[in-house]
Amino acid sequence: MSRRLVHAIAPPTGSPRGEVFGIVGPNGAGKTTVLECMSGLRRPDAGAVRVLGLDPQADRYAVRERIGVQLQAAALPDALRVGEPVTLFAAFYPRTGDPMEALRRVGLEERRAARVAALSGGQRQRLFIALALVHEPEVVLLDELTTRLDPQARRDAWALVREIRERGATVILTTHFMEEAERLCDRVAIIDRGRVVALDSVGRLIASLGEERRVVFTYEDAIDGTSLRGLPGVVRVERPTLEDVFLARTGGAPSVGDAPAT
Amino acid sequence: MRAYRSLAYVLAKLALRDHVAVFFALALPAGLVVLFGFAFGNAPVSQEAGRGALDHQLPAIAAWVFAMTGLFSVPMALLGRRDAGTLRRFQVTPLRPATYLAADITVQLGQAAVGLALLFTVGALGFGARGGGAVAGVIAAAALSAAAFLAFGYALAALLPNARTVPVVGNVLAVPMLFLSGATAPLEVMPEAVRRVAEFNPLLHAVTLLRGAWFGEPWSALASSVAVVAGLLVAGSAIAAARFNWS
Repeated sequence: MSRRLVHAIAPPTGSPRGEVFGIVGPNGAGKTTVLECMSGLRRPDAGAVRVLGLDPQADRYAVRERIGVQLQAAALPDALRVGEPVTLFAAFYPRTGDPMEALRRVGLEERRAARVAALSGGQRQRLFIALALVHEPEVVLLDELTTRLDPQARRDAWALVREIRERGATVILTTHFMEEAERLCDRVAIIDRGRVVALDSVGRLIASLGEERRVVFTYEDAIDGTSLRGLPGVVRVERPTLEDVFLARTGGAPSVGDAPAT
Repeated sequence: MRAYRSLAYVLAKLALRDHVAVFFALALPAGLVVLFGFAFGNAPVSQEAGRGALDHQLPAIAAWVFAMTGLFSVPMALLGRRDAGTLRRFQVTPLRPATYLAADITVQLGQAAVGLALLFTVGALGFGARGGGAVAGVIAAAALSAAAFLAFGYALAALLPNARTVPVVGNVLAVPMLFLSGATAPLEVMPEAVRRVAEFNPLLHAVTLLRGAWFGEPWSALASSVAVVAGLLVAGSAIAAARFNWS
């Protein structure tokens, strides 16, 4: 990874707490590498990494006590029961809350006696979030949390991320869904081939493309798009997407409801 | 300490839920004793001071159980968890690698100890097997042998790329180790060259050591076997510490 990327990514940890910071970019851009450097799994080739003011290499255990990490490639033994890893991980940290509270937060309390093998993909990701939250970390690193999830499970994961932010933790997540970054993140770094090509709030990043405001609303009767398009200042009219239909038919909240006002 | 206790507890539960491993660690050794007992009985063999076939074979089966633990059970469990990314997930917590190892060793040793106790109990109560050596001596010899083969297992885990290679390499090593252990075929009937090679077989020395302790032979008579088994412990630990990668 280039020196420049390491330096540029450093600011979020010094940012005001209770932020969701997104790292987006094409495959191979270096998103996972950044999180690995932050959790001390990987030594940066150059440059400096500080998490909560600490060096994740030299002070790895001090850092790991205060961060919660969800890794892209990590599995628990299938024979475990859902509650067991949560209790186990709680024992790894000097100060922890109630493990069952962490399970409750991710909505898996009733599944705690189930085998890990029996969980759906979405439930499994929620279990990994519970493991990352069991010690009330100050910084939460989520690596492609929603990549293999169906739209409804993705919405559930988003709600969890927002809840983590409400509680005052900083969330740093990677994603390659722009919609996810747009809806979830306060600030976003776009990286490409190991370099930061943009870093700002979602609103300002979008505005940087031109003076455009997005207004999302629902209406009951069919409106002819052309009449809207004829209004002064309207650049584009978007209609509900297939994903919106999927969510409406499978019991999810209408996606237009939580679009960011920009 | 809390991390160690919780981890050892979870690893023990996982070990018990792995029915194949339980079979090989606990049921198979005791089953071998039963088979052996019924097949050959334990009637005194004339030239051996009133000792029967099973008296001879019990410590050999015990050594074999330890070797199996090292060749298969230890690297399978460790590499299986590494392949799945479980160890990597542990790595981003404050859990120390040494704590993980301590918990893993505890469970593996515990499993070996239960298997051993079962084996000797079945042998003694079922077929009247007796050694005559001090219990403390047998336990010391068993502990050294078990520790050495565990270290062997961790060294294998450090050198092998993934869990899929464990059965292959394990079997390639297990067959000559068993064949040249003196417990399956008498080494005396083998050519000189084969006997020389067998001198490097740690299983042969573990069998000699355990059998010596079981029969109450003086430790001075077992010095070379103690040295080989202890050497395996040191070498295995050193390789494992130097080469093992957690992810």
